[in-house]
Amino acid sequence: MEVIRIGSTNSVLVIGISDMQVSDDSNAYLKTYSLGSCIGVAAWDRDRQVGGLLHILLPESSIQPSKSDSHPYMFADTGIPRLFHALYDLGASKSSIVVKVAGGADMKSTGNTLRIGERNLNCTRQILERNGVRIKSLQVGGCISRTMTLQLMTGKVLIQSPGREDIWM
Amino acid sequence: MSELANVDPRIIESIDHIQPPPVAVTKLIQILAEEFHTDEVIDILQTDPALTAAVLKRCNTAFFAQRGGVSSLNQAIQLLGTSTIMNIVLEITIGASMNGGLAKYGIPQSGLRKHSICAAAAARELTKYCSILPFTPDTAFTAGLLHDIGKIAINEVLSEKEEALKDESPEPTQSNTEKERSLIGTDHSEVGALILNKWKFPPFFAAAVGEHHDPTPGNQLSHLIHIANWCAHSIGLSFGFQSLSDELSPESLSVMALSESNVEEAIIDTYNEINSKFKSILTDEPL
Repeated sequence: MEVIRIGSTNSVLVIGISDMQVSDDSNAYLKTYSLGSCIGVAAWDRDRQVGGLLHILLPESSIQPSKSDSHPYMFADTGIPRLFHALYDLGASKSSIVVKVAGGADMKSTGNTLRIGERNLNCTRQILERNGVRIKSLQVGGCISRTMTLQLMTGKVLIQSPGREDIWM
Repeated sequence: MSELANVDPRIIESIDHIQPPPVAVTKLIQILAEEFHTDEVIDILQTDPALTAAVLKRCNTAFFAQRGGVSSLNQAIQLLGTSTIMNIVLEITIGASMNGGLAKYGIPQSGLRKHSICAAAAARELTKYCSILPFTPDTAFTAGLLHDIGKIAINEVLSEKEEALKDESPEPTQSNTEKERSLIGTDHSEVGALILNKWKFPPFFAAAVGEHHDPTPGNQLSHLIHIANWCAHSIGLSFGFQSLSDELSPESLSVMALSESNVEEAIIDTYNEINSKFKSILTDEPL
C-alpha cells in the first residue's frame, strides 16, 4: 500500500458540512470530516493541479428552494455545478478534471425509508453523467462514516474511517 | 431492563463512577417535561448558587458575549432560550463525562458530545413538524443530549475487551447494539435508562433514552429520539466503529406523523441551528 504522509508544513484546508473549497496551491490538502449519509465530491485538474472538495448534505434543493442561494453547497444539484465553475475560474478544463466520490452511508431500514445516503449518491451520479463527467473512483455506502482528504499535488484522495485501514483512491 | 438485580455488577459499578448532576438539574428536567414558566426555571437554578454563577459565567464567554453579555438568569433565558440554558447546565454538570473519548467504541475525544448536541438540536427541530406532542421541545432537546450516556458506562466495562466492538467486514452482520448485547447482555440505551433512573429523571424520559434503538408505541419521545439520532448520524456528526450500523425503524415516522420531507427539512434546520450556535463542531477535527 502506498503511504503518503500529510506533512505538518503542508496547509490543510478543512471543509465543513454544506461547504466547498477550491485551491490552486499544489502543496495544500483539502479535507472534510465524517461523511455519514453526506457525499464528498473531490474534483482535480490533472494538467493544472488545482482541485476542489464539496461536502453535500442533501440531494435536491427543491426541498427548501430558499436555501439554494444562501447554502448552495448543501445540495448536490446546486453544489456540483458551483464546484466545477470555481475550478474553471482557476484555469481548469472539464476534459482534464478527475472526479472521486465518497460517503453516502445509510442506516439499515426496512421499506427503504430515509435512504438519504443512497439518494445523495444517485443524484450526484446523475448530475455528473448528465454533464459528461465520469467518476474515476468511489468509496461509498455501507454503515461507516468517512473522512476524505484530497492531495492537490497528485489528485489522490485519502479515505479514513474509525477501525478501518486507510484507503487511497 | 428495569431490575438492577439482573444487571452485570460491572455495569452498576461503572454507573456509580459517572458524576451525577446536582438536584437542581433533576428538578429542571422534571418541570421542562410539561408546560412551565421561565420563573420556575430561574427559581430552581437559584437554589444552586454555584450552578447559577457557572451558567452566567458561561453565558458571558465566547459566542454568547458577542451578543452583549448577560447579568441575570432571566436575561440569559430571554436571550438564549431554555434549551440553550439546559445545554449549558448539562455541559457544566456532566460535560466532563460527555467530552471524553470512548476508545472501545472508536469514538474520539468530544465525539460523543458533538453527536449528542446534534441529536439534541435535531430532536427539537423535529418537534416543529409534529402536530401533537405530549412533551415540550426542551424535553426533546435534553433527551437528545443524553440519549447515548450509557456508552460512557459500557466503555469502562469493555476495557478488558479492547476494540471488541470493531468490525472490519464491509457489511457487518451485527449492529453495534447487538454487539453490545452479545458482549455484556445489555446495550447502551438500556444502561442510559438505568443511569437516568438512578438520577431520578422522569420515568418517561429515562424510558425514552432506554428505548431509543427500539422504540415502543407508548412513548413518543423514544420515537422522536430514534429519528433524531438517525439525523445526527446522517448529517455526519457520527463517530466510532461502523457508526451507522443500527437499524432505522420506519414505524417511528408514522408514530410521529412525520413525512420523509419533514425529516429532510428538519435536517436543514438542524444544520442551521448548529451552524449558528455550535459552529466549531462542524469543522473541528475529531482528535
